[in-house]
Formats: sequence, structure tokens, C-alpha cells
Amino acid sequence: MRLDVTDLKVDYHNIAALKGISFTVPDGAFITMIGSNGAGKSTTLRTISGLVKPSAGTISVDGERIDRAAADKIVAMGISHVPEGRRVFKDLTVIENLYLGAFIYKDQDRIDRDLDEVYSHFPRLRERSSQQARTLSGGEQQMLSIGRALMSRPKVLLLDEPSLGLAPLVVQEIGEILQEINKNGVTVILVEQNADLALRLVDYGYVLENGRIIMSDKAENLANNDHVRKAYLGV
Amino acid sequence: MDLFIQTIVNGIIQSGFYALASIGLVLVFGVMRVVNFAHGELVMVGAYTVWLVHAQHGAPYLFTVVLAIILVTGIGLVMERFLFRPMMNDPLGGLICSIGVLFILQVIATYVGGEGPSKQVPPPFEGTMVIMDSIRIPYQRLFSICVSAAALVTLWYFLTRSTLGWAVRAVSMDREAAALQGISTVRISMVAIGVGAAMAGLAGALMAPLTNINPHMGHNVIITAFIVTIVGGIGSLPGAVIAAVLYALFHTFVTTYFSGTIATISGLLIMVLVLIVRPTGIMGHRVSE
Ligand SMILES: Nc1ncnc2c1ncn2[C@@H]1O[C@H](COP(=O)(O)OP(=O)(O)OP(=O)(O)O)[C@@H](O)[C@H]1O
Ligand SMILES: [Mg+2]
Repeated sequence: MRLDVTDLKVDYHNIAALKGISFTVPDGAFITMIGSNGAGKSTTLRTISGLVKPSAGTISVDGERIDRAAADKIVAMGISHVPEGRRVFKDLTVIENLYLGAFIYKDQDRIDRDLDEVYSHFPRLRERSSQQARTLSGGEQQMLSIGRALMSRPKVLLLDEPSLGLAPLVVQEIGEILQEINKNGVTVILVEQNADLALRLVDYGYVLENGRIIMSDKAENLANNDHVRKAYLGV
Repeated sequence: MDLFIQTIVNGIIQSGFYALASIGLVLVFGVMRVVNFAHGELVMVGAYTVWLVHAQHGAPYLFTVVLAIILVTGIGLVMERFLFRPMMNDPLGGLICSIGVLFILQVIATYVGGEGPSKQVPPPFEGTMVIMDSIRIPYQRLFSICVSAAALVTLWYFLTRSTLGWAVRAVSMDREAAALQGISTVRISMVAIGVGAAMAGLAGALMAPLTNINPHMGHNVIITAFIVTIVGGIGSLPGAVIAAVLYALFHTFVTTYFSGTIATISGLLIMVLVLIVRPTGIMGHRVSE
């Protein structure tokens, strides 16, 4: 599914968080949006998924406007958001969290097949299926958050800093799974501060600073760009 | 010794009612983050329904129990639609509106039933079960504890075994994350207040033959529900049920051996103590991060 964002503006109590950003994500692409703290990365994703209402601009998927729809309706349009900080339902078990990811569906056979597929991506979730989510490690909670999003059969998957606070090995593992998910035809938008990781995974990237897109290019060009190298890759 | 055992039995009977009456307050607070001060009056309306339709007009008791549930659920849904939903981002506004509803329902009850002494409903189930010559359980109380227990077990299954029940708990844990799963928070709010009000109506209807019915009977209910909710852990449903049982036992003992007033005052003191020592309640988890 193709995503078009045009001149998107978001204000929080008159303070501009997004000052008019435009970008297009073609069907099946894997893109990243990098930027430092407060650049507006989360705001961008939260506006796409309907948690925040824009003050101006449009968002559409395959030509259909979604910027006025409520968050719970946007999920049904095929957009799934893995929020910053994982936000799993801690008092529920792993499998209950995953079933809630499929809340909008009633076809139990298909839901259970999806569950199997999530478990094949994340075998550790299967082992812990009846454990309360609060007892999972940070990495496992991140896997659960991604697995929960996959249960809604997304055509576009939004991920907000999935690598935050995780060990390099787990980050590596999650990165590979995201590539797999993308190869299965899902359009993926990855927001990261970990630019090094993000630019290795994706085809195309955007650099966000102070609520504006200041640069966009193929991932390998960004990785070689002087500004990006200094500001985001620490070299 | 007989008095001791009888008190335990009375306490257990009382606990079902406390749990039923409190659960709605917990559910609504958990899902909507608003304190419904009119919750005690929902119980009162349930009791009045039985008094008016059964005791005054002779309709069968069980029919009026069902009627009370339907009526009070309806009031709850109307409150959600016209007060809590518009006040969604204003918990204080929701609370003030619910106090308004409290007075309105009291005035309606006074209008319908008149001033004057509290009303009594003769127990539809007569007779008393006697166990081992000394422990006495009136059939009316036996009926009320069985129905309360059945209602609570059903609610428990709903919350722990059904997808809709998980969704209710998900909304009370994290509204935004729930919305991202396609869960409509408005729909879940209706479920929460509907279920909570139904339980309140049932509690009122079960209590009607066992208590004094007057327009102000909701006060005791809301105090009890507050204590149970805070001791159990705000938003923790299992905690509320456990706290209801413990508090009912405690309250019955203190009432039997001292007085009802002392029981309520010490209950409030325990609540304050819990707030100081363990603000998340006996079952609540510490807020992490
Ligand atoms: N709920 C809010 N109320 C007010 N201001 C907000 C709110 N959420 C975000 N902001 C502000 O909007 C700007 C963009 O925030 P955003 O969370 O989108 O940044 P980010 O790029 O995701 O940063 P980080 O990497 O730290 O997560 C910041 O200046 C932030 O302070
Ligand atoms: Mg962020």
C-alpha cells in the first residue's frame, strides 16, 4: 500500500511540532526517518495512525484520505503502529496481547494461522505465550509489540524506535525480521535515532530536524553524507 | 463462639453485595478515568424499583430484579453518552456532572416514594436455614449471596476469558495502545458502564428486601465502594473483589461487636492507611517507568 503525506502540520497547544512535511512511500518500500530528540518523528507516526490530529495537510493511502479518521478505524484500513516504548498490555498474557492485535477480525482459523506466523518470526513468544507481558524482558516486549501489530494484517507497518534500550544482538535480530516482513510485501516505515542500524536496513531515508524534512535520499547516499555522518552516525 | 461463626457467615453474605456494588465504580474508573459519584444512587434506583414495582404493585420479585438491572443499565448508558463522553478529557468535569446526577436521582426517588420513614420490602423468600442448631441463614440472604456469586463469577470469566473482556482491561491499562489495536474506546466505555451499572442495579434489587430503602442509601454504598476500590487498588478488578470480601468480614465483625458507625470510621482509616503505605492497593502493581 502506498502512503502519501502532503504538507503535514501538527501543533501541540500552538507549539509547532511538524511544520509542513511531505513525503511518499511507494507500495512495498522500506524507508526510515531519522532525527534527534524532539525532531518530530513520533509525532509523524502518531498523526498517520490517528492518535494526533493534524492542523493542516493530508495523509492518504492508495489515494484515500485517512487524516480525519479515528485511530481504531485506521487500523482496519491496513495501517499498524508499533508505538514508542512498546506499550504492551502488561497485565495480560503474551497470547492475550496477540489476540488483541487481531481484535478487528472474527475469523478464528485465520487468526490462529497469523498467530503461528508471528510465533515463527519470534519463537520466544511461543515459549512464553501464557506468561504475563510484564514478566518479559525489554527485547521480548518489543517482539510482542511487533507481533501484536502483525496480527492486524498490516499493509503499512509503522515502527517507533524499536531498537531503544535493547542489546545489539537483539537489535540485529529484530532488524532481520523487519526485512523479512518487508519482503512479504508489507510497506515499512521505521523511525530511529539509531541511524546506523536504520540505514543498513532500508532502501530510502528521510532526515527530520525541528519538524522539517531537511534531506532525503537513498540509504547508502545518506550514510555517506557529511551532515548525516557528523550528526547521526558519530563519525 | 456461635456468635463468632455467625458473624463470619454474615460477613461472607455481605461481601457478595459489597463486591457487586463496588465493581461498577472500579470498572468505570479504570476505563474512563472518571469517578462516578452517582454510583451509589444506581444501587438506590435498583432497590427503589423492587420496592415500587414488587412491594407496591405486586409484580413478581424476580421480574423486578430483571427490571431493575435493565433500568439502571439504561441510566448508566445515558450518563456515558451525555456526560462522560463529552467530558472525556476532563475528569473533574465528569466527576462534577456525576454529583449532579446523584442529586437528580435522589430527588426523583423522593418524589416517587415520598418523604418519611425508610421503606421496607417484605422478603419474597421466607424462612431461615438453620445449620447445626445455631447458625441461621435466612433464605433471602442465601438467595442474594448465590446470585451475587454467580454474577461475579460470570464477570470474572468475561474479563479473563473473552476477547471483549481483554479489550476492556487493555483500555484501562493503556487507552492509546488499545486504540492502535482497533479497539473503539467509546464502545468499551459503554461496555464498562453498562456492566458496572447492571451489577449496581442487581445489587440494589438483591438488597431491597434486606435493608432500609430511602433516597440517601447510596451514601453508604459509595463509601463502601470507595474503601474497597482504594484498598484493592484503583483499577484492579481482582483486587476490588478480594478487598470487598475482606472489608465485608471486617465491617460485619466491628458492627457486631461494636457499632456500625465505628465500623465505617475504621474502614475509612484503613483506606487512608493504605493510601499512605501502599498507594497502589493490595493487588495493584507499582507503576513502572
Ligand atoms: N503531547 C505533547 N504535548 C506537547 N508537546 C509535545 C507532545 N508530544 C510531543 N511534543 C513536542 O513535539 C516535538 C516533537 O516531539 P516528538 O515526540 O515527535 O519527537 P521525536 O522525534 O519522536 O523525539 P524522540 O526521539 O525523543 O522520541 C517536541 O518538541 C516535543 O516536546
Ligand atoms: Mg519519539
